[in-house]
Parts: sequence; structure tokens; C-alpha cells
Amino acid sequence: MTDDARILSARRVVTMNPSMPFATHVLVRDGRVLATGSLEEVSNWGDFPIDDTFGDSIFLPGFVEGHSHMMAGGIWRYTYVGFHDREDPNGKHWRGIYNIKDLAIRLAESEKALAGSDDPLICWGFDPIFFNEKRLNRHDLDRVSSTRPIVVWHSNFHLMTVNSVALAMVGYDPGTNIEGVLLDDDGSPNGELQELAAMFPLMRRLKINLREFGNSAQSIEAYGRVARRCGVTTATDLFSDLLDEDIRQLNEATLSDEYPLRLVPALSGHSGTPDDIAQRAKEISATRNDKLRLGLVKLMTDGSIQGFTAQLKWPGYYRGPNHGIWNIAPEALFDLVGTLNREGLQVHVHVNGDAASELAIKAFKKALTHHPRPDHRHTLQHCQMADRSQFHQMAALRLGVNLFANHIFFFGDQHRDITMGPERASRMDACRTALDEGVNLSIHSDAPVTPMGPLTVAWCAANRLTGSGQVLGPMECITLDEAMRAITLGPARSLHLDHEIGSIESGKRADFAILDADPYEVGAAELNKINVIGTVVGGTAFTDL
Amino acid sequence: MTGGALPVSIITGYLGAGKTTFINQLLSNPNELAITILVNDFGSISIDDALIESQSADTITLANGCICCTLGSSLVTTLCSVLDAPRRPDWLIIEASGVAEPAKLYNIAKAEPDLSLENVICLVDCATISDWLSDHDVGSVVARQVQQSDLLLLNKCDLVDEVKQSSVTALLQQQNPKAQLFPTVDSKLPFEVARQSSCLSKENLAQAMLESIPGQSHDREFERWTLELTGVIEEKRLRKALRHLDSCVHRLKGLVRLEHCNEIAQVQYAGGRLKITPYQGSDSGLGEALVAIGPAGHDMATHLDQRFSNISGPER
Repeated sequence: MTDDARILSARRVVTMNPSMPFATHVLVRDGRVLATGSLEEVSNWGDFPIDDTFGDSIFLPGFVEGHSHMMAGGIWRYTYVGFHDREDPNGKHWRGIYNIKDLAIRLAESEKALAGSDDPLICWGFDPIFFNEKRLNRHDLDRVSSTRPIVVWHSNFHLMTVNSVALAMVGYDPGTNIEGVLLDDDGSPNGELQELAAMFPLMRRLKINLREFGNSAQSIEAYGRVARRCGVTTATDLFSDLLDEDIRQLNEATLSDEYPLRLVPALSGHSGTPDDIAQRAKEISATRNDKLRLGLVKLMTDGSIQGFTAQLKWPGYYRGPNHGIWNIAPEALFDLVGTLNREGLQVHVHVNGDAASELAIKAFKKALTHHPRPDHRHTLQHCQMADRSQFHQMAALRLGVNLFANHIFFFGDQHRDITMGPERASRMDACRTALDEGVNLSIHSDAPVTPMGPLTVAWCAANRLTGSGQVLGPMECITLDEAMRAITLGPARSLHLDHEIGSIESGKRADFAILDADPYEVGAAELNKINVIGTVVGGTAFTDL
Repeated sequence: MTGGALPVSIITGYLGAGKTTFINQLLSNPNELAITILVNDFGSISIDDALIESQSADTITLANGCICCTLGSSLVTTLCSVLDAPRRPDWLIIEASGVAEPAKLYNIAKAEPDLSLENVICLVDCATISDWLSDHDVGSVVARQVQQSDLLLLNKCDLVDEVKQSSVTALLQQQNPKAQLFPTVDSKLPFEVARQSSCLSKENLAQAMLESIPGQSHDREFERWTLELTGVIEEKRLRKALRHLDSCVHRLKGLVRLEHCNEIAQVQYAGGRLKITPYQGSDSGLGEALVAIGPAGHDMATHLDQRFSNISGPER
């Protein structure tokens, strides 16, 4: 085998390795870091070619997205109409939609790309919560087309607004009296469909297949592009059925040298008895390669705070109704956590509200009391409302946490004014408290819920600015260094991968995020303005963005 | 497939209420329907595979939950595949998760033109329901399960005394005054009621209750009569014994071995009509016997004993 070793030079290499925090050169061999240091230091290993392609750029450890979904790639087959600007997997910049007029223009543009006159026009990400005008209805969409069905899917995927053609397809008419099919004053459907039941007949007829977003070869490929555009070299797909066919596809995709992402998909813990799940998790973990790790199990407890479906402790929601849901019965959660822990598996649990995190902590406490296990790395995901007492218990049980720091910017104003009120909103996604209590901290985007972008997440955690520019809970801000750790080594540890990734140091995989500016020069306040040039994954550069 | 909408029943109830047993009971009832069951809950008991095979029924497991993640997509994909299959089943039964709100499921059946909601049946564990209704974590969802159902199957009545049963009944009626209440044990409910309880009148339901033969819970109101059979029976004499039965016999059924062919036949008598048909199921473990039920205090047993006193002896 020929020696592929080469020295990559950079303006600065930020290693996140305290024994050699900064360097200018990285010697890479066989996809791994052989050494970091000055040119002179790494050259002591031998006479290797120097690659100056990124000599003016900054290397950071490849970012680790500890909570995102494959759907973040596949969903782009539809037109983006969200409020916040986003980049698609191909790097096209999509401007945010600020009002219904913008929406009509975007739809008219997208329509031109459709072949048949009755092909459906489907969009996603619509966010009227930020609009200051009347609610979108079918008449607005009828003006775009009266021949093809139009579906405007709202950002939370629980609502859609559709045109008259779409309503006619499913027979919703003035005689319709179905929960979730909203009516005009004159009694005819106004085009807004709320919740799965009302949306299902249309999804069926338009063949909108959510599962395919998360499993097809195109989705896997698009997900890789989404990740590499924001410097992510390892990402989860935090909830997947992981059928044999899915695993075959994942294995095939990740075995390719062209694929720019290490994947850590988590098995859904809701598709069988605890013993079934444990057996399946063990079974699938046998399929592994350098870029694919399986065996992690994800459980869902409550819903979301902005959807009013999270489970909250007293006094509940500030304004708005309590629609708290459990996706699993509390006793069933105890059973599952107990079995999975006993079987040596790792469990990540979705908890949004503080009643959900309380329940999950209890379940782990019971499981770990009956069956103590060193270094289990069970982790609470989102965990947005946990207070200091809960973080203390997490630390005592050695649970990790992955906080949804992006919420501060994307929904912080709504949480302060509507869902939680100012006092509790200030302690949401309490990164400072988590670190102070000694809990391993990661922060995440939950893409596609918010755009994948670890530098933005780190910026949110360090500055806690809401969309309107106010600081929400300044005492929960973390330092730049802590924030950078929470998008690298923190999530790497939560995935049992911190011996392989998360820092640039001898022996680890050569995974880098290539940036145009140094976060440690720019400072926390401007982190989100840094551009990502590309990534290096296992020594291979991916920059053709 | 007939081209009409596919009938859907939703089975709800908290963990341990007996949903899986209930579905197994339904499947063990001989019938001609092609049934598909979507299982959205995972208890320790699973659907009995043997029953499913014998009934040519089909089960599909689902992950429950929210549409914004793969949880909901499982339901969408599965329902689409059931609806768009070349041959639709005759009856779709959805076993909801123990923490699901039935409305979220039955609204799908209401919205989708190719589905028609038959009924929502809620199983209630008589012994634990009052605790669950006041439970801090799940009380509200258990209450919604009770409130959103057409038929409340008051299960495990054998585990409580009369006082407890009536206090639970009152509690449930307060939660859902419109629902029909059906006290039972072992999740037993007559197949016909399960199939169409929402269109049954109170009288029909009472009748069904009489016919359900679940034992203990109705013993105070109903009388049972059982006849174990050993030898073969002549069909002609059997028909004669069952001709013009007193109206106190609400229902009679069982298996007999017929003389002329030495084969097992199924006997069903209800509403004044008698049916004797060849038994299709496997006969392993099934004794030949007849069972009848009728309201207490009408001396049904004496009446039937007389009719059957000479069923297998020399004809008089």
C-alpha cells in the first residue's frame, strides 16, 4: 500500500486538544491524524508532501451534530417557504418569507419548474407565527393556481394550508364537518388543515411519503451535503425505523469514499417490546464501518413546547392551552429504559418539558439503581425546561444532556411572551447550569426543525439572543470555548465516539471543519458570521460546495 | 373488495386494561371477515400468532406519536399501504397505544373518504381505572380515552365487588354519559357487538350482553345452562329438541358430533333461529357441549333439561 500521508497547512488549526490547543499543520495518514504542530514539528515524522490548499483557512475539529434528522436532506425536494433564510443542500440561498405576498411570488417561481399542469406544488417551512397579517387561506393559493393542488406545509409539520384544487381532491366541501378542517365564516373549508387526521387524505393522494424523506438514497446523499455545508462531519439521525433495507442503504452510502459524513442513526425504541428493541439494537450494531455506527436507541416522551404538547410541571403553560402528550406510557418508559440499560445499550430520550425530563430521570434512576453500569452515556435530548435540581440529578446519575440552544434565537421571543413567560423562558436550555453541575453538554439544531449549523447553535448558547435581539437569561450564557466544545467533544462523547472524533489530535480521525475565520479571533458575538469553506472527512477534503 | 369504505374500529384503553386479550378474543371467534389489525401498543402479551393464522388476519405494528418525526410517518405509510393494496381487508382494527388519544386516530377515519369509522371501544380495568383517572401523569389522557369512546368495556369485573363495580360505573357515566357500558371479564365481548356497537340500540346491547356468556359478571342477572355431550347425536333429533324453544332461551350455542357423518357441527341458536353448520376450525381440545343463556328466574335450565333428556338415548 502506498503511503498517502500528507501535511495539511492552515492559517491556524484549533485542535480542542488542551495538550496542543493550536497548531498550523496537521500530518494526515490513512484517514487519521498522525500529528499536529508546526511544520517543523510534524516534519519530524518524515518527509511528506505539503498540501497548502487551505493554507489561508482555519481548521477546527469536524463538528458533531448530536441531534438532527435525515429528513433535513430529503425535505428539500419541496420548495422552502420558511421565515428564516436557509441554504439548501446545493448551497442555494433561500430568502425567508415574511408575508403572504412573498409567498405568492415564491410559489409562482416554483410553479414554472413543474412539468404537468396538474402536478402538485408542495412547500414546507411556512411560519405565519412571525407574520403580522391575516392568516393564509385557500383564496391566496387559488390565485397562484386553479389547476394544480398546492400544499403549504407549516414549519412544525402539524398544519398545512392548501388551495381549492387540493380540497376538492379529498372531497372537503361546505358539507364537511371534520375536526381539523377549518371553515370560513360561510361554512366552506378555508384551506387550513390541522393535524394528521385532516391532512392524511391529501398526503395519501399526493403520495407525500414522510418515511422516504428519511430513508431513500437521495435523502442520505442530500443529508451529507447539508452537513458538509455547515462543517458537520458526524451527525445522528435521531429516530429511525432502521429496517434491514435501510441499513443496507446506509451501509452502502457510507462505505463510499465520496460520502462526506459519519452517521450515527438511532433505532426507534417504539416499535416492539423492550426485549425486541434490545435484540434489534444489538443485531444491527453488527453492521458498521468507519462512517456508520449503529446500536443507539432513541425514545420519545412528550411533544414540543411551541406546539403546546410538551409535558410541563406546575404551573404549566403561561398563555395558551395545555395539549401535553406522552408518546409512551410512563410505566412503559420505565420498562424500556430498564431493559435497554440492563442489556448494555445506550439510550437517548427526547424530553422537552420539565415533567418529561423529571420522568426520564426517574426512569434512569430506577434502571441504574437496579443495574448500575459504568459509563453508560445515556442522554436527555432537548431537555429545555430542566432546572438546577434536575441537572444535579443528571450529574449524580452520570446522564448527559443535549440542549436545544437554537430555540433561544428561533423561538425565544415566543417562549418569553407566550409559552413559558419571562421567568421560566430565561432558564430554558440552561447550558451554564448543566456545565456548573458537571453534566456532559452538547447543543443541537434538531434539523430540519431549525437549520443545521453548529456555529449558529454555539452562537445561540454563548449569546442567548432571541429573534428580536433581546438577551434571554444572560446567566445561562456559556463561554466561547465551552460553546465550541459543546459542538465537538461534547456530542462526540454523548455518542461514545470521543476517542475517535471531536478534536484534532494524534490518533483520531482526520475530520475537520474548514472555516474562513477563527472563532477565537472573531469572538462569541460573531460566531454565526463565520463561513464554512468545507470539511475534511477521514483525510478527504469536501469543498465543492 | 367491495369498493365501499373500509370499516375501522379503534380499540383504546390504558396499559393493562386488556386490549390485546380483547383482540385475541375477537380473532378466536369464527367468522369470514378478512381482518387487518394495526398494533400501536407494545405490552408484554402479543397477539396470538396461531389465532391470526387461523383467521387469515394480518397484523402490522406501528410506532405511535407525532407526525413531525418518523413516528407519525409509520402510521401514514401503513394506512396508505392497507388502503392502496389490491385487496382491502373487510375490517381494520387499530389498537391504539395506551397513551394515545383515540380522537387523533378516529379523526383519520372520519376524514379519509375510503375509511368509515365503525366504533371506538375503550377497555377499562375495573380495579384500577379510578386510580388512573386521578394519576398525575396520565390521568388526563385516560379520561380522554373514556370520553372519546362509543363503548366502554368494563373489564375484569371478577376482580372487584359489587360496590366497587357500581362506583366505577358511576364514574365512567359521569365521564362519558353517552357511551354504552358493557361489564365483562377476560375482555369478552360478542363479535357482533364489537363489529357494530355504535349502531346498536340500548336494547340490542342488553340483548348482546345476555348473549355474551362471559360468566361471573352477569351471574346475578342471567342464568346459564350447559350440557356436556359424549356420543354422537342425530341431527333430526337435535333439530326437534330445539324447535319452538321457550323465549327464555336467549342464545344457545356449541359443538356436537353428528351421527350420520361422524363430524363436528356448530350449533347456533339466537333470536328464534337455528343454524347447524359444519365446524371449520380444528377440533383439538374442544369438547362437545351446548351452552345456553337467558335471564335469571325463568327456569330455563328445567326447560332445556326436559328437551335434552333423551337426546342420545333410544328414541321414544
